Parts: sequence; C-alpha cells; structure tokens
Amino acid sequence: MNINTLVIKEIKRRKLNFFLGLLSVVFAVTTVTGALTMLQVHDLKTNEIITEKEAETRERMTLLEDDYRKIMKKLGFNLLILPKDQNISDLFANDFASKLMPESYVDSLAASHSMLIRHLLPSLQQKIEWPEKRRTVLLIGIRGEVPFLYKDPKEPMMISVQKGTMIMGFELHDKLGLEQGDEVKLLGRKFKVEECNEPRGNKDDITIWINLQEAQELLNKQGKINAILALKCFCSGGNQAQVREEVQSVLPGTQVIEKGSKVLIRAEARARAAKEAQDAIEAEKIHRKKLRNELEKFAAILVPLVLLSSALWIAFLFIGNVSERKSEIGILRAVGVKEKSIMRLFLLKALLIGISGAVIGYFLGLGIGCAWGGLFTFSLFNLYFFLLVLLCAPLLSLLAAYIPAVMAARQDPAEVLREE
Amino acid sequence: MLHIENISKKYTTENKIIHALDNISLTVEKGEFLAIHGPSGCGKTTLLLTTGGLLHPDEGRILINSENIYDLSAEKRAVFRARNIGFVFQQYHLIPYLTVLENVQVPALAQKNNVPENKIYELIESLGLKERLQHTPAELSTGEKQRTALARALLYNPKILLADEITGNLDQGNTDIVMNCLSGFTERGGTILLVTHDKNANGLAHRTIYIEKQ
Repeated sequence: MNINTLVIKEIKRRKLNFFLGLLSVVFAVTTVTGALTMLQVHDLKTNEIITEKEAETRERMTLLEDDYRKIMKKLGFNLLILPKDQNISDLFANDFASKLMPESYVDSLAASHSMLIRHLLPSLQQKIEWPEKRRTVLLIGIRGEVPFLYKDPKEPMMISVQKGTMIMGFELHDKLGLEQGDEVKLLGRKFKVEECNEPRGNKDDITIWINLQEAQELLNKQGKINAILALKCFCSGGNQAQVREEVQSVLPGTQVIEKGSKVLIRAEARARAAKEAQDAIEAEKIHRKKLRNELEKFAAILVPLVLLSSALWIAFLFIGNVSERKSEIGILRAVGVKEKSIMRLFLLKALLIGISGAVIGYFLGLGIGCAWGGLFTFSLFNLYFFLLVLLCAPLLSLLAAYIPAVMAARQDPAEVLREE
Repeated sequence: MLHIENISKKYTTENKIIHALDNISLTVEKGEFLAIHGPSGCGKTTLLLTTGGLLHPDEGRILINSENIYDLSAEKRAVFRARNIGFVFQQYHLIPYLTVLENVQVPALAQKNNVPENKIYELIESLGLKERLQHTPAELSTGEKQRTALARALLYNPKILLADEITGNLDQGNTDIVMNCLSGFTERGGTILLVTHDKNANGLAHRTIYIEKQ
C-alpha cells in the first residue's frame, strides 16, 4: 500500500469528481490550443492566399508581358524623324516642325537595309493663313508611303494626295460649307476637295492635306520636308533605342522621338494592372492582418478568463473532495500519516488531472482549430507548445488544488474522530 | 509505560465552555488492559484522543515511555503515533474504496517497512476475515467492519491500543471475537485503553476506571 495506490483507488471510486476536474482542464487547454491553432491556421491561410494571389499576379503579368511583346511586334511603334536642330518644345507648341531637312533623307532611309523600320511617311507641315478664306490652317504636304528598296513591296499604308486635290479637316469643311467635289482656291492655286474628314477632335480638324510637291511649291520650300513619320516600327521588349540608333546611323542630321502609340497605352495599362494587382495583394494582407488582430484580441480576453474559471472550478472540486474525505483523512492522520503525505494525496490527483487534461485538451484544441480553418496538416502540431501545455496544465491544476490540499493536511483529525 | 499527568481539556462553544477533562491523572502499565467507563459526554473519547497524540491538552502531560508526546513536533508525533499507538473507533473509519486487505494495510502509508504478507493474512485470519479479503466496507457486516478496523490497528503491533466503544454496535459473537483478540494483544505485552459501556469487558480488563461527567 502506498499513496499512489490510494490516489488511483480514490479516482476509481469517485469518477465523477475526477471527470469534472479533467473536464475543466480539458476545456482550458482546448481553448488555449484551439485559439493558438486558429491563429496558426489563419497565418497559414494568409500565406496560402497571398502566395496564390502573387502566383496569379505573376501569371497575369507574364501573360501581359507576352501580350505586350506580341503587340509590340505586331503593331510596332511610331517614330517621328525630325531635323536635328528642331526644338521639341516648339514642335509641340506650334503643332509642326519649324526646321527643315532634305526630302532625300526619306529616300536614303528607304534605301537602307533597316529591318526594324517600316512605313515611311515624309511630310512638309506649316501653319498658314488661308488668305482666300481668312482662316488659319495647318497645311500638310504628303507624298504617301515611301517603299523600301530592299524589302518585298507591300500595299502602301498611305497613298499620296493627287495633285490638284486636297483632303480637308472637319472644322474647315463644316464651317466653310464645303463638300466633296467642291473647288477651292488655296494660296492662289485651285484645288478640288477630294475628301472631307469626320471630326477627330485634334489638330487634324483644321488641317488640309495636299500633294507634297505642291505644298513645297506653295510654301516655296522645294525639295524640303520637316518630318518623316516612321509607322509600326518592329519592336519587341526594349529595343526602341536600337531603332533610334539605326535611324540615326543612316540620317545623322536627324533626331528621333516616339509618338504616342497603342503600344505605349498598352504598356501603361500593363503597369496599371501590375499596380492594381499589387494593391489587391496589399489590401488582402491588411484585411488578413486586421482579422488576425481581432482574433488575437478575442483570444487575449478569452484565454485568461477560461484559465481563471478552470482554476476556480478545480479548487472548488477539491474543496468538496476534501470535505467528503474528512473521515478518511482523520484515520490516516490517526495511523501516523504525515501532513505532507496527506497533501500528496490531493496534489497527485491534481497532477493526474492536469496531465490527462493537457494531452486530451491539446489534441482536441488542435482538432477544433483545424476544423475551424478547414486545414488539416501535421505542421500545425507544435512539439514545443505541446510540451509547454504538458507543463503548464498540471501546474495550473496543482496551483488550484494547493489550498484545498493544505486545508486537508491541516484538518484537525481529533475533531472528525470526536464528532463520530 | 503510560503516564497521564494532570491533563485538562475544555471546548469552547458559542455560549459556554465545556470541561471535557479536568485535571485527570492516570498511569497504565505495559501489558495492562484498562477499561474506562463513564456516561456519554464525560470526556472518554477526548481522553483517548489526547492520549494518542491527536488532541493537544490545555494542561498536563502525556508520557509514553517517559517521553512527553506533546513536546514532539506534529511531524515527529505522527511518526511516534505510527510506531507506538493503534486506534480503533466505534464508527470503524474504514476507507470506503479500499478492500478489507487494503484497509488493513493502510498504516503502511506511515511506515518505512511493510509487514510481510503472511503476517497480514495471519492477522486477518485470526479475526475471521479470510473470506472477506477483497470485499469493500460497504459489503461487510458491522462486526466484520469492526474486526477490519481492529486488524488495521494491530498490523504494526503497537505498544498501546486505544479503543473507543468498539463493541457498542456488535452482537455477542463479534464481541467475543474482538475481546479475545484484545486479550491476546495484552498477553503479547500490549497495553489497552478501552472506552466502553459494556460491563462484560470488565471481566477481561485488568482494571476499570469510571469517569464522572463534569
């Protein structure tokens, strides 16, 4: 016979008392483990969601990159070749280049072996007073597309305006009441209105397009042009600089600027999409963090409350147990069992409750946490935390049972035995 | 062997003071069987508890083999009690979830050495409990319960046996078994203080004293 046997026998006898104590520890440990597992599941889910979103974004960006590459390749991008001494600010302020360059430049470019430059459109542009109609117009002389000598001839993107004809912007023909087929005089020369453009909402609405040679004659700038538009240049990735270098190697007296193109718009859209995707990820992160903080706050309130309730519950159970075992304690003291051994009787029982409760509660809490998050993974089993629970739960149980155990040890055996 | 010197013990209740023992002195020799008689409430149980080192007297000394047991610390007194004193009470105080065998072995919780099993069985058999070894107190008759309590008190062969009304609830057959056991104990040199209302006990006791109610 020893104290351990007595403890086990007593537990077997008073199963409900042990079970209620166990329930209390299980509840406390389950709450703590469950709360922690929920937080862990939350973190894992957050990582999963963010990783998923990042992968989605990467995939989308790769697709956009691919689209971008295809678009660049398919559409090319537009370049404006200007005289080297042309001030760019003036160009944007006046809507045309004020400096001139030989028309032969376009022929030189067309005669080059450039693989990147495609459609070449030379022009002579100048804002003038249309004396016959007393209006300011932008006069553009065009020659149509200049074909490359060493490339397969294709249908030109733009044909020249026939001599003696003009194409008129919307604002002009609308305000002047002109229609296709009408005849008008421009700088003393007769032209037939070949085409009336629809409104475009830009400088084209006040533009008159005529044959380049006639424009040179009217403006007294024979053999001169002030811009070559190179449309749909081949481009993939970041080789715009290479295109510029190629142009300038053929025409050193020029400068090349990029004109707004679909490619740029697409590139901007791509950047915007990337930013939006990143913003969405950040928003998700913030949302998840907020949710975690709320969970943490909830756990921070709940856990101490549960631990305190559990400790009180165990203490009351043990006080009841001590009271129920008064006679037993009395006789044990009478036969010479020391106070320490009486305390051991109760503390050993509390220890068993604590250890059993820790094991059951941990796995129950883990299961509940996993079920809550819908995530069952072995990685949620935390050995360090399990050992901590295995240490703390019995400690909690021992602390709660300590005062009742002291009460039992200090109980006056004579009082009990005399009462009988 | 046992000297009770001028012991007094009083209990204080809400509105009065009860003098349970008032200046009692008594000497009991080794191997003596002392029967103590007296009306209910005269302090017989208090005398036993005080003698057994469980209830500190307000005044006086209890000397067992010349040692004042109340000079010992509570821990040492518990050890002393385990080695020298056996208790038997009218209400048995058996532990309800232990079998007869285990209840008899309860004093082992306070001892360093275990009594050999054959000695335990011998003791149990001498008290007619052989067939009840694995029974719990709830399954025993009154006499069997008291005999179990007696076996428990005698397991470590104490020097003094303090018995309080142990035949009060027993029939004649059980009383005879118990009294024979007590006789055997004194024959082996044990000292008995038996508180009883049973006049028949006087026949076996070496001496009988009467305590008057205060």
